[in-house]
Amino acid sequence: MEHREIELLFAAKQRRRLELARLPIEEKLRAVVRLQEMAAPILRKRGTAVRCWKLEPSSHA
Amino acid sequence: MEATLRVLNELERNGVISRYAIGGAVGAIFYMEPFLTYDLDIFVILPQAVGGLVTLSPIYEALRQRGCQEECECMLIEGMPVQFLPAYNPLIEEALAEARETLYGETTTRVLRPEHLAGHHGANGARERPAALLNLCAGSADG
Repeated sequence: MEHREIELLFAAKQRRRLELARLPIEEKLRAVVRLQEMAAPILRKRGTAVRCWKLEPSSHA
Repeated sequence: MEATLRVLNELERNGVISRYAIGGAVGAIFYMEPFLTYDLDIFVILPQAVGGLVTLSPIYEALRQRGCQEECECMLIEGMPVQFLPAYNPLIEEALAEARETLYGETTTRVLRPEHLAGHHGANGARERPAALLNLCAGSADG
């Protein structure tokens, strides 16, 4: 793969991160909860106790 | 989360804490893309205790009276594990003094500024976040 293609891939990755960073905080925390729910079974299998948040049903979605 | 913040605001109004601000991973998420975390780090300035002793006991006691329970090093407030961290050095005191007010939903709260978050993460082993936070310093936080 050419160096130029790698640069494009990293640039796209950075753009995506900036887009996500610009989301409203309420939406970002809903994404965190989805990450928690995905990671929790793996962590629990390893013996780590974790608690997934229950966010209020949002009136500001 | 909003219910948790309302409890923190009430603790501040009632003088149990003098000032608080969100730090840690959730603080960083105000400025960055979302990433995995399970607790909410709250930096606090405590009212001066008799004899100058700094203790989190009054916070824990006030929360127990509200029916909150302890879970490891956290207090469960409205279902969210919250870890209280007293301002333990001048940098964190400055960070709390300069924390920015913002809204979560309809609730006012405060979040540490990215440069302070970066300083604290850098000192606490979260290696990737400081640079990313500083890159985003020019950007705006929510709220």
